[in-house]
Amino acid sequence: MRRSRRESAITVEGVRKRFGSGAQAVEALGGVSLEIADNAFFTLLGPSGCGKTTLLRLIAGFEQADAGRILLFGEDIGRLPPNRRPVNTVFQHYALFPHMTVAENVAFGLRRLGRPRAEVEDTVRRMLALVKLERLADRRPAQLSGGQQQRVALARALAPHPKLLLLDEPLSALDLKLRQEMRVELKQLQEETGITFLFVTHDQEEALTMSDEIAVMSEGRVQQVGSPREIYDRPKNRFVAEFIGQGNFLPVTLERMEGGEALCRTDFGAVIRVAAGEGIAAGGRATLAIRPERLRLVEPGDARAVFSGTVERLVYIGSDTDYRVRLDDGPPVDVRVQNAGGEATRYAGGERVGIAFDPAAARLLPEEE
Amino acid sequence: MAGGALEGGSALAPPRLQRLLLLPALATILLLLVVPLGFVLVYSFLTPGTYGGVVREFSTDAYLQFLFERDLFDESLTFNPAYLQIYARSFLLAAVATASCLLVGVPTAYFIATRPPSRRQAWLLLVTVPYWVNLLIRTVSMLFLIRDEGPINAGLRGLGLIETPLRIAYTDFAVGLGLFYSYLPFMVLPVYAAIERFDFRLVDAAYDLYADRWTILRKVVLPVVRPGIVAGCLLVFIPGIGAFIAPDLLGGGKNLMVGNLIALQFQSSRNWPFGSAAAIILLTIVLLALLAFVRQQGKAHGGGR
Ligand SMILES: Nc1ncnc2c1ncn2[C@@H]1O[C@H](COP(=O)(O)OP(=O)(O)O)[C@@H](O)[C@H]1O
Ligand SMILES: [Mg+2]
Repeated sequence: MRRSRRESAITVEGVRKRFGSGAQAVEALGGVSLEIADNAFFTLLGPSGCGKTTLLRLIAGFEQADAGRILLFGEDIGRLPPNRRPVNTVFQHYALFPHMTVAENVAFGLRRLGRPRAEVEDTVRRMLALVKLERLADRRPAQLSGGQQQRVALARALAPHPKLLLLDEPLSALDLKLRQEMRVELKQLQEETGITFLFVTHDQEEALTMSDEIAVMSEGRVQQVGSPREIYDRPKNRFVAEFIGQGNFLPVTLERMEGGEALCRTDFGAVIRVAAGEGIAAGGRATLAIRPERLRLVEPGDARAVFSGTVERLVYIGSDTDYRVRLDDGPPVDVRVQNAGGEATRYAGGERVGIAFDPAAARLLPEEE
Repeated sequence: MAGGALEGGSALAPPRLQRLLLLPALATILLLLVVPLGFVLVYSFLTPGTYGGVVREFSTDAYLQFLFERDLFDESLTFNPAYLQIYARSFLLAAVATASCLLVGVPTAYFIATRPPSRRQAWLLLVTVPYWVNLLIRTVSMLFLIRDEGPINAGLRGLGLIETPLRIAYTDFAVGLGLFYSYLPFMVLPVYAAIERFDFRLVDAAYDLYADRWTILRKVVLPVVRPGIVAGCLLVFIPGIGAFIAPDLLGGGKNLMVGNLIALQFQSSRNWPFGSAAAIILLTIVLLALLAFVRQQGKAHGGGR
């Protein structure tokens, strides 16, 4: 991994945060620990309400943690107010100052830091060039489109050259096309500026395409941290597997362990051999997870077929075709077939098919209590 | 946003019909403001009738009288600052009342605007409570409170803090107090509206960008809520200058304000042209002041630095 020897920009240790008290108390963060490498594009991914904004607000200094520590390049910043932390935020709804021009917005942080006038002007010009807004320097935020406001917010937060940039779902208010463009731009910005980005999103595609590393959160806890590949290919638990991409989940009983592999039997009687992960022991129950695009459709009698079933329906979605196949005596599974050759729509509804897959592509997830 | 409002409105009533909606208001303004004001303007250039009213004879005496005294015998003019002083006092009292309203009204408005939405209505209702009682009655009861034999003086004397009664009633202070009290809600309401609309996430943004509390207030909060504060100041200051009841009752008719001066001319003095001229002069000064103010605001608005 390329981050292994790099210094940690921010370290979050066992941070807890609870809002309210008594019966109405909400535990927003239940002991979160994270380490974010310097110069990384790090993403917090999780469903709405899982505590992402709360964690950002704790790092920015708007909230105080009930327990735990937050270190910025080794220094405990937990007690500093937001204006004393070299951390800037791109807010979810931008929060641009409506009475100031674009240039004045971008200059705001630099002025508060008492930078000399010439330097402020120079930096503002560079920042506006960076986000391609030079020509709108004298506009007010109300005269800008959503995408332009977004760029102003970025330039404003980047201008003081913080040690860490926090971005709270900055793309969620943009339309799809713009959002996709901005993904690329954000990633480029991070690389050009060399500033560590802590990016928050509930959109898994966004997380997968932009990040060096992803932390998947749920209900105030970190479920898994890893590269996009690790998160996608080797989800640690059912939540991660389900939240990222699509998946088929088959309950299995673990028959036998053979080296690093487990022989497991599905509830409908099929026996499969797959690599075993942590928390997997013979005799127990587990969930077999496999992505639709890792399944292949073959002729019913094919020797490679692991399962057999009947096509329930198929949906043509351009680059791929999504099949739903009901397994014999079992649940339905989703199969995604690329429309590269002619085989994508070879099978029609009601036809019998076999399903094959590489055991290495399947994951055994420990049963959750 | 404005476009949206326009389109939304046109669904209910076509643009041509919308213009008609303004007609009643325009008619009212024409009939009750423009026409009478025209009369006032004309009257100010006529000659007073013996028992009130006017004689149709052109004269600029009313305006001369404002600044000069005409000698009864040789008709020579000598400068007389008495009326100017009344105007100056009016401005000063209205300004002091406005400042006091700001001092009390802005924190009040801030308090109400930061309550949970469900509570705000109740607080606002409380602000308007004084308006359920007639202004005259409110002012008279204030007079009872502050006069020499009133409860304030009685209390202070009872405590042994003073021996002779504190002179509050019939002073400029009393008039200022009356103005302040009469117009306070006019400050609270527009300022409340501005603060209520204020996006407090801007405070977070400024705090994040290294601003301290004082800078946030000065550079972010005040500029954004300024239209509300300006509206409040105008709503207090302008009626304050022309106020009639407070100076009449609380000032004891000695320390005149413009309103009293004008009223006097139409009553005991029976000098309608001079009363009209005084009103026109007041109107002109207020309009000029407003114009200068708007200009200056426009300029100041350019600077968010
Ligand atoms: N100021 C607050 N007061 C009370 N509860 C809050 C507050 N902020 C967040 N919460 C609660 O904490 C949880 C996490 O919220 P948040 O961090 O905003 O989630 P996310 O950003 O992932 O959507 C939610 O249940 C939310 O209702
Ligand atoms: Mg959030």
